[in-house]
Amino acid sequence: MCLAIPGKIIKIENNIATIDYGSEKREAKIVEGDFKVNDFVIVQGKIVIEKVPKNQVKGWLELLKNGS
Amino acid sequence: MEAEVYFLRYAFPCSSTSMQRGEINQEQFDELREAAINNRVLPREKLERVYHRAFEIIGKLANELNRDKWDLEVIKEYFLKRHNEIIEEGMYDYKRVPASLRELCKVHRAEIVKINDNVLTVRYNGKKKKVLSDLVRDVREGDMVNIHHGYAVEKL
Repeated sequence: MCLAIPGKIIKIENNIATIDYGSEKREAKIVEGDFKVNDFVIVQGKIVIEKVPKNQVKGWLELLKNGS
Repeated sequence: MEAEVYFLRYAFPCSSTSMQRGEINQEQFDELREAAINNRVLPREKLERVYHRAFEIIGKLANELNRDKWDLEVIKEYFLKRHNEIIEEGMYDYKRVPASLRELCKVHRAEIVKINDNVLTVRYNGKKKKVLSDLVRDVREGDMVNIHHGYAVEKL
């Protein structure tokens, strides 16, 4: 399966978001769209492209942690 | 277009997940990215190793169609048809995956409605999405593209 792993935005400064993936943090650029701190997002090519609804994230991250 | 090039364009968008999962390292990721952007042919063995999940299904599909797995028609049949069917039918654990992520994994035919640097706003089924234009050249507003996992992968 090729499935994205969402991360949580913990900081946004000058359109650069810091995203927490639990095991690591990464930075990504916000070019377009309405993204806020605490949003769960998908990043591609160091750009934030999509928000994942919070109610869909929790179970999924637990599933990934337990090995899917 | 060579089958290796076509395959990598559609498969590359999943590579960031492979890296997050530790299946490939940064150096391997950069090589895949460079090859995908520049339409460079990578060795088949390498592609089969990195994208082994896709090739499990492509192998079965090739048997069904009585063709070689590297036949371009087989690769196209996989990405343009079988791949979405598998996700929709919830096979291989896809049924446990949240709807928004399943949607991201599917290949969609979409129209470009706005271009901002390398970020395209595209529309399909009345929905607007952001995808990156790094893998396609010379796209304009109004063009139709196939999108996969946050990238435009083929201009139609």
